[in-house]
Amino acid sequence: MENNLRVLRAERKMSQAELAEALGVSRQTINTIENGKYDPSLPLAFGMAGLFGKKIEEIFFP
Amino acid sequence: MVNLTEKEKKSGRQYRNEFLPAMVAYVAVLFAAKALLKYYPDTIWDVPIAISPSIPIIFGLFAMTRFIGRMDELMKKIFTETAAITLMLVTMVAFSYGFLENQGYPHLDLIWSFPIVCFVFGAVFFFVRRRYNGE
Repeated sequence: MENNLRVLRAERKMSQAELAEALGVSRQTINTIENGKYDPSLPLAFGMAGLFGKKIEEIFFP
Repeated sequence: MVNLTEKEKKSGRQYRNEFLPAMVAYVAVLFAAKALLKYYPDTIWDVPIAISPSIPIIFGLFAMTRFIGRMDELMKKIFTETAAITLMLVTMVAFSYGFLENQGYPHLDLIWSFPIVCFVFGAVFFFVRRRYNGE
């Protein structure tokens, strides 16, 4: 899956570590998602959507 | 450089606090069991004494299980893939070596199964984790 997580994070001036801390995951998890090497679970994707005030399909797309 | 979150650091500390005492107990029980069996080789308690070093190992495994349970989803995925590959590798090699033993190759003691699995797991983990290295 493609995603625009890096852009959303940059808009909010958050580091990967800060986003990881906010979502309760490791920085490596955020890093691999941003690089398209790992697709997050649905609960984590919902967590990201809630944090950025977006719908899941606005962050992730095929 | 690995930047760990507070949650990961806390989880790591908890793991060490649970795992290290289990390993210290293992070494102590192992030496005690060996000494007991050396001085009392004909005791009727030989079987319980001989397997007693496994008990602290069980506590070590509990600590590992709790550590895995606290991992985040990516690390759980890496562990799961590593465990699956390790299982396939070790069982296939053990199975194949069984055929070689039938042809006269030296018998491999089962005591080596745990260290071999740990070694292979560590090696496989290195490669699986690299696949998820997003840097």
